[in-house]
Amino acid sequence: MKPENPPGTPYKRNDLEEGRVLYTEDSLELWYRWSLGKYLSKYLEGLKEGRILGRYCKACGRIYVPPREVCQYCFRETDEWVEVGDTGRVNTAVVSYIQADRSRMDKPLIIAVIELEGASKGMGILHRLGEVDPEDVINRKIFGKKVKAVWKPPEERTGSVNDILYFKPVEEV
Amino acid sequence: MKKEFRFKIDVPKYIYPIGRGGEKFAEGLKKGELYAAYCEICDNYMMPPSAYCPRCFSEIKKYEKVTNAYLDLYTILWKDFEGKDLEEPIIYGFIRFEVDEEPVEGGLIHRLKVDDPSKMVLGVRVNPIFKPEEERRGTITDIEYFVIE
Amino acid sequence: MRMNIHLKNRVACVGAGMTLFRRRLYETSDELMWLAAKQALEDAGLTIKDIDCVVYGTAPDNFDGIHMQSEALADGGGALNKPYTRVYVGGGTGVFSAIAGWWHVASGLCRRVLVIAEEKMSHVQPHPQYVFHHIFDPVTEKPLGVNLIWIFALEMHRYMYKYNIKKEDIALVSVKNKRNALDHPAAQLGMKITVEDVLNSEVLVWPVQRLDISPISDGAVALVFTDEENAKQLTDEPIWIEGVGWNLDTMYWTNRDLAFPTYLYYAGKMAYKMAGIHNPRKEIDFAEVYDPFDYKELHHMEGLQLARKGEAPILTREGVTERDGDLPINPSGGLLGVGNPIAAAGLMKVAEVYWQLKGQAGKRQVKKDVVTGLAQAWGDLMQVGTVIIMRR
Ligand SMILES: [Zn+2]
Ligand SMILES: [Zn+2]
Repeated sequence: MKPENPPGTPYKRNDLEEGRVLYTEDSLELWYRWSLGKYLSKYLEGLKEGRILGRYCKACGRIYVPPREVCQYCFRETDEWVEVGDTGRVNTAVVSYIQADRSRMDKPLIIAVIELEGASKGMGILHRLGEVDPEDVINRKIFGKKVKAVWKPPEERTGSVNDILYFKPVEEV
Repeated sequence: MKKEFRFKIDVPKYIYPIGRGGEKFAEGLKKGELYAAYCEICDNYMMPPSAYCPRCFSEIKKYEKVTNAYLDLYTILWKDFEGKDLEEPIIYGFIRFEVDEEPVEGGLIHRLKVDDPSKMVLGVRVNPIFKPEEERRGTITDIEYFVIE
Repeated sequence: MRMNIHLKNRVACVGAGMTLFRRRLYETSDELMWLAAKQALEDAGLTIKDIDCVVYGTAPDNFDGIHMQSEALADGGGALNKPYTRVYVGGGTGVFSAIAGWWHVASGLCRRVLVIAEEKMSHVQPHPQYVFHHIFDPVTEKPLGVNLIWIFALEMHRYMYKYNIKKEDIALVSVKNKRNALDHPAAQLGMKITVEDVLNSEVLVWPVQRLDISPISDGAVALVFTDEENAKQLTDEPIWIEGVGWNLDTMYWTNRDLAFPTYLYYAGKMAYKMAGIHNPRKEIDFAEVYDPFDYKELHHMEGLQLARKGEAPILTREGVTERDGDLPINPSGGLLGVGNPIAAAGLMKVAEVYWQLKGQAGKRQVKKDVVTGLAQAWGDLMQVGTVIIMRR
């Protein structure tokens, strides 16, 4: 039977701690300063003002959120700024119990892809849902429901996707 | 208008086991000795030693203690990573080795401690100065620096 | 064989080798490559001196924690003073490195190519999962604290919603693959589990639970490809590579159809056309489809037209995808069972197709007689499909 005698020497975490496996260690921390460019700058600036902005391609009629410089279908520059609504419908949603480093969260977080009203069909954004019972996510009742952005108070906004606290349902789930 | 966005890419810690090739090297360091790998098929010594010969792909079966170390190249650092002046310049040497007068392929980059700059000539014999035995961990920093003989 | 492109050489696979797949392996990254490569060369009856070019595949450098990884590890690939190439499409890299190996030979550029894929995820502390945080958009996504399992869970839930699929049916994939892996000598997670075990395992991001996911792994896999003339000198039964395809969707994953892998549909079409396949469901005898998550096996079967939309869970429930079924899927045990050292896992699938077609899979050998097999991987920001079709 192939593979025949696959080589390799497994070890366990405590082999490191107890000195049976010698190792060296290091860490990585790289800081970046990203130039945002015309489109994302204006998008974040819009969020600071409580508005969600997109870009319109007049060749195919698509409205992109987040705004993009180039229409991926027409491969041409998009033409105009459009303000889309801060309401939308839930395309999909999940309940997260873990953080990015795999540690458990104190309190579960509901994450969703939301198709904003005013953007083209299928143009969703990633964000949190609030004021939702996790049960309604698990049984998928929240899917397709209308939600609306809950914004931070204007003085606390910094020009970030986190200027929106979460989206909450505005129709019965 | 907001034009800039700061973020970081970080990994809190990496752990690199030394592996098969590093094992003999690490054992040597702990004893205060330096070992080179020897490929019997290619008749070639290599430093740092590996577990296999990159040319003929055979497994390395023999590790030999080096018998001579000499300075092949050096560079002097006046500034740190961020471009600030160092209090004292640091000298890094590229150290090459021999096993019983046979040349060893490759070598090690390490710090050089020089008391008399006039002795710092290419080809001069150097010796590793190891940390006290109880502080050695089988890593390259078990050698504190090299000195000119 | 009906190619839609001009090829100088027909390409054959003549050898395969791999290391164990484990959560932590003591060997360094280049030592793992060397071990896998040596086994593949021995299998082919060649030495490293017979190899003209080397192709290397690995996921982001941030796992092994060695920058310029391909250069740093070149010695272990036997690439010294040879034309050497690294290819990269995230999780799709394993199959893509085989595709790159194929074009080296098909073009006439090289005669014998060594293809190696390697991954060491165990270097990352406290958990390799964290590296995936850095693949997202730093402006629109990372500030939300995104992790990789979110997007899989979002996709899985959309798929379940659209076709009204039960978690029980998806869990069957994990049960099958982990059981298949019991017969794989390199497997990390071969085990007998039940649907209940999956449904009772730790909930990470609903609907994704711990036993829905493949593990973190270290490992390496290598293959040897050569041209027709040389293949016939080396063996009486070369395994031919008859179709390759790859395709990329937008990076804006929230703008995609999450219930159907469009990128894979196109990648599959490209490979089928090259291999002269008109009805994949009938003409593909078995497949190694990419299964880092159990639902993904189903998603990918549908993208590859091995099942109609929403039909893959039904085929699974009916036993069609078992080793003794009509369309065995992941007889190796897949990523869920054998393990998931990312790039190496993809190439393991190509190796499995090779071993199955050679009739060398032993206890893993699928019951029906097989002539045509397919291996597929998926990656980047869930956006790329890579496909290879092999025949004996
Ligand atoms: Zn357009
Ligand atoms: Zn040699």
